[in-house]
Amino acid sequence: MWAVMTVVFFLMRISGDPIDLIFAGDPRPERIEEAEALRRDLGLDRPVHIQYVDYLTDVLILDFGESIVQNRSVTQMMREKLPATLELTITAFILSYVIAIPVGVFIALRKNSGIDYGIQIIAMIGVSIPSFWLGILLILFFAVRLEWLPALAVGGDGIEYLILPALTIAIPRISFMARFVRGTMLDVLNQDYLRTAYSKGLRNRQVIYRHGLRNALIPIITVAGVQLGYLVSGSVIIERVFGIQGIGDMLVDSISGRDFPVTQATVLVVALSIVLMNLLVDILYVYIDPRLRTE
Amino acid sequence: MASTDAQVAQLPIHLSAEIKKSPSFLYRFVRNPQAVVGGLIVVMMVILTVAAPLITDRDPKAPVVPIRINQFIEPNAEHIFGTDRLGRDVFTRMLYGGRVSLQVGLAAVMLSAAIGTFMGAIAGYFGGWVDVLVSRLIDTFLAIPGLVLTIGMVAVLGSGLDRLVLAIAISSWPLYARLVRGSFMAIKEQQYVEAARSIGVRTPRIMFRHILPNAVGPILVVMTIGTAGAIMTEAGLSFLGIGLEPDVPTWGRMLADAQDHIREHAYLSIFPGIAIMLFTLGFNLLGEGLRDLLDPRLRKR
Repeated sequence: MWAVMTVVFFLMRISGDPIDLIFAGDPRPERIEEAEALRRDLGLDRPVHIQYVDYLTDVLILDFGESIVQNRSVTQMMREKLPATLELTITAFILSYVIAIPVGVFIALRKNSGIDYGIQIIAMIGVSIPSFWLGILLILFFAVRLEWLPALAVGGDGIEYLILPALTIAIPRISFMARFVRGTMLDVLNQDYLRTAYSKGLRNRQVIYRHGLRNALIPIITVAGVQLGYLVSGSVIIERVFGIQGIGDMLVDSISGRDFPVTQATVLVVALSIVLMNLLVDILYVYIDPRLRTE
Repeated sequence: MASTDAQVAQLPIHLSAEIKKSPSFLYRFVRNPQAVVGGLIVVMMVILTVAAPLITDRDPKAPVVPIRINQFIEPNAEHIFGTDRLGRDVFTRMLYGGRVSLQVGLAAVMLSAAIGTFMGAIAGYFGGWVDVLVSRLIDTFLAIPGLVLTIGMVAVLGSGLDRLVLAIAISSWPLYARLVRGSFMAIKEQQYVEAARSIGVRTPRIMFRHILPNAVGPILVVMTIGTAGAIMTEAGLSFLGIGLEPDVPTWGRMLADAQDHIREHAYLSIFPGIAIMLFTLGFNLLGEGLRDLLDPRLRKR
């Protein structure tokens, strides 16, 4: 976590002075004065190592400073924007696992059959399709053509506003995960202990779910953190497509508005939540895999 | 010295290089449907975009029909993909947009592969504190979602083609570094490396002349799939209006513009999306095909 914070800090500083970027060499004297005042406010006139220590302590108490453009505390903006993004990514996350695992197991059991190839080809296309275009296509079909669902996620918070955006983010992940589950399942199916289970006379179903899937789940859970990372990335773009007021929307706005503290805070919060997720996965392991408990 | 070097380089070596040299590689490539389809799509798209000025003499930035009450022309024989809000020919813009995608994709991948290979090589070869340092750096970068990191880098570096390339490269080098580090750790234990060292070949030469060629197969696979990723990232950023100047024709920006007219002029939303999908699909298929060809462990599956 400390490493992530440090890297974010230094990456954001290597460009030099954000104030120069905002004012871009505006020669008018009152603008230069304004720039100096802002620089003092933000503490950018002090040596880098002091800035760094300040930054670390600020982050620890969840103080991300003030937005340059909006004159509001970044923490407060976060609090407003975070729920929408969380709702979206968590729905998409659940959706992707709930669909991808059964599909992956299904095609692994029918390895090299027509349906296996068919689903794999669809999944390959699903991985290659740009998520924002997928979103546009879904809007075109379900909102414009069929008029079943709203085109934009504004004006309400019912489930119908969540379906299209969540699907849009989930589909590329489902495609990836289904192929991944197929791979790990095939690895497990080739193991000796599965042959043992069969030779004990256990029923097919029991072998696959009790002995097969449980072992295949370990690598599948390992990638959960990475998956969540992709979902957040997807959310950044998809929020724009559907007009959702979330973290991604905030990040994009902060870049076009050159709102430096907001950009820095958003990148950091996203990165830290992924690190936390990975930590959670590590803890979860111990419950799933008893072998790890003894170590 | 040169002759001993050549001899050392020809000693029994790692599989990937052997596969590349064996005459059957081309044969097996042709027999791999993924690689062939992917390769064909990529070649087709590259020809179309590189030859853009030969295919059309229209200007991607200038209107081809006067902007009147209706500058939107639905796709027809003259404008096969129609015209957009400013009366510009969509097909022409797509050809030139493809050039941008290809430029960004290839340049970003080469740069990030170069950075990543170098970092991975020193970490894997020297081990010790260098390895610890580089590995921690890799873990840290991988913890930040790629797109978010790239957007952050664009915020820092500013916009423009070269800066966008740099931003994508900075956020994707760890993938190569992790891979190369692993290969180097394995290969440096091989006898021919020891042989090279014992006859006094200098360290940089061992690293980049003796070890690197034998680690190149997997790097190529990741580079191919990475090109798809970089093209997708460029399209996504352009869609958000980040990274490139507004007047550069890109598929992402075309889609963003098209969304304003999605109800009346849906055709605008279709073609650039297909182009992005085909391009990434082509590189993904090619990469997966190459992986199957280069990784003997997976071939039986």
